[in-house]
Amino acid sequence: MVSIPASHSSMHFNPRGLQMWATGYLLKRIAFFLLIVWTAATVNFFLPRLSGQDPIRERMIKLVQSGSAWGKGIEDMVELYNEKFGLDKPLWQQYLTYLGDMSRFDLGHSIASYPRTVNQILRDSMLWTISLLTVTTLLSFIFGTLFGAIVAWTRAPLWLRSLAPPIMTMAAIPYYLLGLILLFIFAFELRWFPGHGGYRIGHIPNLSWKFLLEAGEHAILPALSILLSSLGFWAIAMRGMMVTVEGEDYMTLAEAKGIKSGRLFYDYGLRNAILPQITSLALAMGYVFSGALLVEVVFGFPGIGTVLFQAIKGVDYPVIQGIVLAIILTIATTTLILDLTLPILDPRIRRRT
Amino acid sequence: MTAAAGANGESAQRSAALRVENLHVHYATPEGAVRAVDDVSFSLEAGERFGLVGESGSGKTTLAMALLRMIKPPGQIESGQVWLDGQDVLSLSGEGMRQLRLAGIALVAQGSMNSLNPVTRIRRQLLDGMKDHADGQVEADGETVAAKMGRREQDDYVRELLARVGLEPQVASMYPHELSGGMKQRVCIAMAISLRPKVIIADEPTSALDVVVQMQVMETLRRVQEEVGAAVILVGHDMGIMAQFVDRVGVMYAGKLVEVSPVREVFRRPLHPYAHLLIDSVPSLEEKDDLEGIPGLPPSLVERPTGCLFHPRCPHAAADCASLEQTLEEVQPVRWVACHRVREIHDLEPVPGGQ
Repeated sequence: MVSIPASHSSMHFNPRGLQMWATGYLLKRIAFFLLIVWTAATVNFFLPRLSGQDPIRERMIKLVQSGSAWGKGIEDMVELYNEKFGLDKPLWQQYLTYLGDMSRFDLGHSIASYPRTVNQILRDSMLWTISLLTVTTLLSFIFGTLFGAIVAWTRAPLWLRSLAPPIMTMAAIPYYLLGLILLFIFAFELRWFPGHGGYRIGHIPNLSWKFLLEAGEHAILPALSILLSSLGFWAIAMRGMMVTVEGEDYMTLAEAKGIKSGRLFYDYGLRNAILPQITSLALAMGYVFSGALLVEVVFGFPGIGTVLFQAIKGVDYPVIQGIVLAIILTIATTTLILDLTLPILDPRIRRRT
Repeated sequence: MTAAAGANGESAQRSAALRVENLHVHYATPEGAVRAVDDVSFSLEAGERFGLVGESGSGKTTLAMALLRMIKPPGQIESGQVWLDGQDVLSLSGEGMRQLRLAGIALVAQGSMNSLNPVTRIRRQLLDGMKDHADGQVEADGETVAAKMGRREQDDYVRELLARVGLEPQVASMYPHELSGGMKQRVCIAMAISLRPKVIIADEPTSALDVVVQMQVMETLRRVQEEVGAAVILVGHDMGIMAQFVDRVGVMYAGKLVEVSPVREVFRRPLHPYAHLLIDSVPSLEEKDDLEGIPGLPPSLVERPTGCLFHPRCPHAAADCASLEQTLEEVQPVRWVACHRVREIHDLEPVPGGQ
C-alpha cells in the first residue's frame, strides 16, 4: 500500500483543519476587500481635487452665463456654498469627513439638482441599470459561453459551427453603434418597439404588472444591443479555452476511456474551460453600473449611465463621486464573491495559503 | 496472409488477443503524405507483454493511437486490418468503437501528470467510464459488470479498483492535484483495468516519474495485467524498463517494424543493424566506454530514402540496400528481421522451410 502523506490527509480529511483554513481564507479576502474599497475611495476623493477646478465656482459661472444669476455677489455665494459643502475646511479634515460620510453611505447633495441627495438620485436610477445589465450579462454569458463551447467542439454538428462567423462579426461592432442600428430599424422604420426612455412619458414607475410589461418593452432594444455585441465576446473567449482544453492529456485519456460525447463535452470539456469564464463573469457583473453607459444615452434609458452622463456635463462632483464609489463597491463586491466561489468550482485553488 | 502477419508463429493465430496486419497511417501535409506507420504487422497473445521501442518520431505513439482509432486529422488510417479478440476493429461504427475502448482495449496515457480531469474527484473518474459502457453488456470473467450499481456497490467497486493498484480508499474522494505523480499513474492503471480489457496500451507510462516510482508503477502494471489477463503493449524508449517488463519487443524505425524478437534475444544478440546500434547506445555500468550514439539523423518521413529506410545510417549498407525494400522475415525461430543482409552479417543458417 502506498501511504498518503500526512499533510494530505490532515488537510482533507480533518474537518477542523479545513474549517480553520476556510476561516483564514475568508478573513483574508474580506480584509483585502476593505483595503481595495478604502484605496479607491481615497483616490476618488483626491482625484477631482487635483484637477484644480472649483465645482461651486463652475456652477455659478454657468448660472451667470445662462443669465440665472448676476455677476455681482458671486464671490459671496461661492463662499457660502463652499462652507455649506464643507469645501472651506483643510483638505485632511475634508478627507476625514468624507471617509466618515462614505462609511455611512452618505454621499451628500447634488450640486446640479440641489437639494436632492446623491443617494436619492442613485436609488432612482440604479434599479433600471441593474435590471437591464444583470439580465443581459447573464443571458449573454450563458448563451455566449455555450455557443463558444459548441463551436470549438469538433464533434458538434456543422450547421451550429457555421454560425460562428456572424456572431464573431457582431462582437466587432461597438454596442452603442449596434444600438443605433437597432434603433433605426426597429423603432423608426418598423416601429415595433419604443425608441426612447424606460417607460411612457407621463407614467409613474411602480411595481404593477402593467408597468413592468411596459418597462420590458422599452428595455428590449437596449438589451438586444448589449446582448448581441457581448455574445461574441463570451463565445470567442470560450472557444479559445475549449480548444486549449481539447488538447489536454485528460481529454485524450477520456476519449480512450470510451466516454460518451455528452459527458466528454460537459464533464471534461466545459467544466474545465469555463473556469476563466467565471472570473470574467464576476468582473463583468462588476460593470452592471457602468458597462452600458452609452447604450443608456442612445436610448434615453433612465439608468445610472444617463445620470452619470448628465453629471459629467454639469460638473456635478458629488454625483460623479457617488456613482464612481458605487461602481467601485460593486466591482470589489463581485470580486469578493468570486474569490469565495472559485474554490468551490476549482479544487486546485483550495490550498492552504 | 502475409508473411509478416505470422510474426508470432502460425500456432498463435487463433489465440491472438490482438492482430495487426499491414497497418498504414498517413498524415496529410502540404509536402505530401507522411507515412507515420508504414506496413506494420504483429500480433499479441492473451496476457503477453509486448514492447514497442524506437526513437522519437518513429511512429510508436501513432501506432498505439491507431489501435484505439484515435488518430486525429490530418492523420488517417490508410489501410490495414486490426483484429481485437477476433473482432474487426477498423470496420466498427463510431459508437461501436467507443464501446470497445476501455472495455476491449484500454490506454494508460503518456502524460500521466495531466491525464486526469483536474476538476472532478477520482471516484467519479473511475466510475464514469464504466457507466458509459453500461449498455454495452460488458462480460468480464462470466460476470456482467452491472449497469445500475447502487451507491454502496459503486463504493465497493472503487475501493477494490484502488486496492488492486495499491492505493488507499481515501484516494477516491481526492482531486488529481492532491496526488503524487506515482499515485496518479496508479489511478490511470486502475481505470485501464476497470472493465477487464483484452489489451492495455501503456504509452510511456513512467516517463515523468523518478526511477524508484517507475519500478513501483511497472510492478503494479505487471501485477494487475496478470490478474485480469490482458495483453500489454508498452510503448517507450527506456530500454531498461523494456528489458525488465516485456516478453517480446518490436523495434520501430521510420514507421516500420525492423525487428520483432523476444526481448532477451534482442539484448543478447540484436540482429537488425538498427536494433544493434540501439542496444549499443544503452549506457552500461560495467564498461566505462564513451557513450555511443547512432550516427546521422532519422530520415525525413516526407523525403524518404529509397530501398531500406535505414541504409543511409547503416554501417553494413551495401549497394543494393538503396533499391530493395525490406519486409519482416523470420530469419531464426521467433526472430523476425527486416534486413536482407542479416544472414550475411550474422552468419546465420537459413530457417528450414523459411523464406
